[in-house]
Amino acid sequence: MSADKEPQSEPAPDIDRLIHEPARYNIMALLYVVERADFLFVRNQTNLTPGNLSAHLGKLETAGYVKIDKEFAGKIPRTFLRLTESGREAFSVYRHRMRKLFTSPPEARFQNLKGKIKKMLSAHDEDSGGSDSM
Amino acid sequence: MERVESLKEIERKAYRSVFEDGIYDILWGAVFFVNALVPIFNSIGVSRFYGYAALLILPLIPLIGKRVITVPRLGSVEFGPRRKSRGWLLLLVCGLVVFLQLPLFIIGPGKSLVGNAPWTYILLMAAPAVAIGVVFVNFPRWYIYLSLMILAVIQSEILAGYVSRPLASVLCFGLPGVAILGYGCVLLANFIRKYPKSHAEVAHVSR
Repeated sequence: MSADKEPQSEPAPDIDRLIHEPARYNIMALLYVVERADFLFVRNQTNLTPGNLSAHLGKLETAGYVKIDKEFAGKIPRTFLRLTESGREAFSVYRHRMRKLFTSPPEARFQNLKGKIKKMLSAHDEDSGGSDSM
Repeated sequence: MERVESLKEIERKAYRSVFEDGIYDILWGAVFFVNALVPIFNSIGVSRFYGYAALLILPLIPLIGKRVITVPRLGSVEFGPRRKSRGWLLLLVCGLVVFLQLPLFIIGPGKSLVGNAPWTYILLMAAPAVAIGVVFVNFPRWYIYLSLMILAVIQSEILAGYVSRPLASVLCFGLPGVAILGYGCVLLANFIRKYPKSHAEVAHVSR
């Protein structure tokens, strides 16, 4: 599942969409509450298939949210996962924003939405004005 | 909202999963079992030393079990600094409790027990520390085991007045020991079935 195939509509204003995806949220939440865990533990806790987990981890690693370390216990390779500082920060910001979104009164949310629509319309007007002049 | 609020639950679930393997239940069962065996050893002329040696071997059950059975199946996890500092605090408190009880058993009312029933003495001394440990570990099943252990100590002392001590120990420690061991083995079998050994990570995360 690549990022460009995901639906383009925003679920909520200023929400980190990388974390908002349920599987990635589960991975981030688990790694947020522990110091580090290996691939197998995360897989068992999130009930994801190895390929699926690997794909999500790739995205999180690219975003700089997760650090993947390969270690050897004797001859057995083990993959350890931990959240980076920016991952922790991003996750707590995400939680804060989600909480705010759900606890703010509907009027405030409506005002935000109204503001966003106004902004979009004015941007659209500017665009269409520019094309008219040409 | 539920997603955002459930971090504590996720941590607790991850923590509890470490105990899903039944290895600590087997350890508890083994402690009961050793308690039942020591007086039998004693009655057939084998030194009590072997009983104490068994006590020293018992911690190997979780050490080896976790390494050989749990980690290759469930994976390994390191919990946050809060849980780690809680572990150190637990160790400190338990050590302090045992230390504070020493005078009670060496010069106080427990003195006679030291000579007559050292095993009971060790158990009674360890019980408050274990009770605190159970609260810290927050694992409800262990409350039952601890209660059974204290009950078994009291019962065996009472029963020893009516039947021989080996028989009293077998009845009071052996029977619950077998039940707990059996339960631990069932949990272990379920755990092995639920988490088959896997090397999938080797093939997948290649970076």
